[in-house]
Amino acid sequence: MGDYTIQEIYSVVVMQSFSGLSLLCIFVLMGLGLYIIFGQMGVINMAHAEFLVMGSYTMCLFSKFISANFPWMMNYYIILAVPLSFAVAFGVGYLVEWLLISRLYKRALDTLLATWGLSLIFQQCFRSFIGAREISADLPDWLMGTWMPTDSIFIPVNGLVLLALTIAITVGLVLFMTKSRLGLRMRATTQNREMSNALGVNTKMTDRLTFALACGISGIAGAFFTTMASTSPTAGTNYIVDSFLVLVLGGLGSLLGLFISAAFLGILSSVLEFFMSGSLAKVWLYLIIFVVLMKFTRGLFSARIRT
Amino acid sequence: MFHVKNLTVGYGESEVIRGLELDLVQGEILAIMGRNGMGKTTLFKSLIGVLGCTGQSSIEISGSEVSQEPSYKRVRYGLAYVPQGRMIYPSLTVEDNIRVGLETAKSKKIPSYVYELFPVLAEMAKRRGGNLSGGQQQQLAIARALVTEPKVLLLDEPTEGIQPSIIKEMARTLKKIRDEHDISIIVAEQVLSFTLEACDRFLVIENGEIVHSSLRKDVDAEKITKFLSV
Repeated sequence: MGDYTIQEIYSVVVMQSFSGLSLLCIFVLMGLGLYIIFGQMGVINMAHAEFLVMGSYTMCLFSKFISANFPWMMNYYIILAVPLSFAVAFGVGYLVEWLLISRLYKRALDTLLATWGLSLIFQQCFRSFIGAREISADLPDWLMGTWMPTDSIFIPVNGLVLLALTIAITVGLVLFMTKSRLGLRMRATTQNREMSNALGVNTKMTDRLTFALACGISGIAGAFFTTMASTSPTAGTNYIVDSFLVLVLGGLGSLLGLFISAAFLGILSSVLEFFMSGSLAKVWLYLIIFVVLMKFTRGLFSARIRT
Repeated sequence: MFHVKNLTVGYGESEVIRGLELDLVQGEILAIMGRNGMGKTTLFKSLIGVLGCTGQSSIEISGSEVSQEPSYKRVRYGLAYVPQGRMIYPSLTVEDNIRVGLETAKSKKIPSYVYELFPVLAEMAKRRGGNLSGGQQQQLAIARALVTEPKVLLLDEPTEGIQPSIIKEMARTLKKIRDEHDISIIVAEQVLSFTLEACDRFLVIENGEIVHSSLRKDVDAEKITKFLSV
């Protein structure tokens, strides 16, 4: 660090922190899906990252379709692309729950194996039907600029948009889960399926919608992901482990924990990666998480209740 | 208004309930007494649909046959269930616990009678269900079942883990619920003093069959106690 001035280090920390915030957004969006599927339903969905890729591909292909056929829409197509990415991932998630997951509830290890197999199938489908090469979305010009709060600090606009949309989606999801009837049904069913059934809740349908919603959110994460990087069939695998870590570190079932641990992991990993190699940064990161989990075995913010 | 005919339920090859017959009239509180393992909970689980019954079994409520309906549809026909151990949602607030029960109700607003009947729930509306005491959780479980607007309320061992002082109060509450809402109640119990306080009729179940039946006016407490003793 000796070659940097204090001012430069300050700028680097600010920019890397912001880069970490963008990573945080992806972690949060992935984590929200996992929070529902793993934290609430108890299903370890190893194919969750492929729903992110599905959302990415939807965004990329839709952007190319718009760019080729309706170029005048290029500045606005994201408004349609994000819901479309959600809809595609939601629809596939619905089918996956119906055909596969619904038969594996309460069999955590079986779901682990089945969804891992599913992730391989999805990856091969992406390779076969879209191609093995990385592709990028055609992004509107306004998304590609930078904002300069000082002479030495450059903040990418896409990162700011990503941050704003992540906040909006998270707030929307929290309101949906806590205020809507379907949200209540989901929370009740994930806590006690048998009792919910005995109170008049159609739990099979609720499970299906819950799983699909989580996949849909991952699809949105994928759509946003294209504003940061290009997409390939295995692009999601880089994020799945870290997303599970975010969830476990925060404490299963805690949204606040999810946010704080996503911020912790996102920012720390970005800052560490600037000063050392990526793999060494990962080693340090996992060591820190290991120590924290030794102390807080149920995560940082697990709920304490009488059962 | 509630008729059970030839109810046969089992786990795999072993039959726990065999050809059980049961009739309940409007506004009646019926006690089903029996020792542990005699089939009380299995009976209730099969009535609400958590456990399946054989094809020859019949469960009829207000003229509708529900024996092959899934659990959530039986609630729409007017069956409500308070399980043994209460099974409240520990992470949901008291208010949300009750709101889950409104799934089949016409209005999705918590009716005021719930808090009149159980004032403690109004005080604790924003607290998590898992943080209530056993007695409060029992009240919550009954309130949650009550808002489903049932015709028949099934209560599985409601006195389990409850202080003796609250048990008497609970008997009064059951009678109040019956009188004010005109619903029938079936209580599975082992505590005779509680059922003597609350119930109109007594059945004793042993090895999945009804072995004794008596009305309140000619109940033989000693005989029932013998059935209940190990």
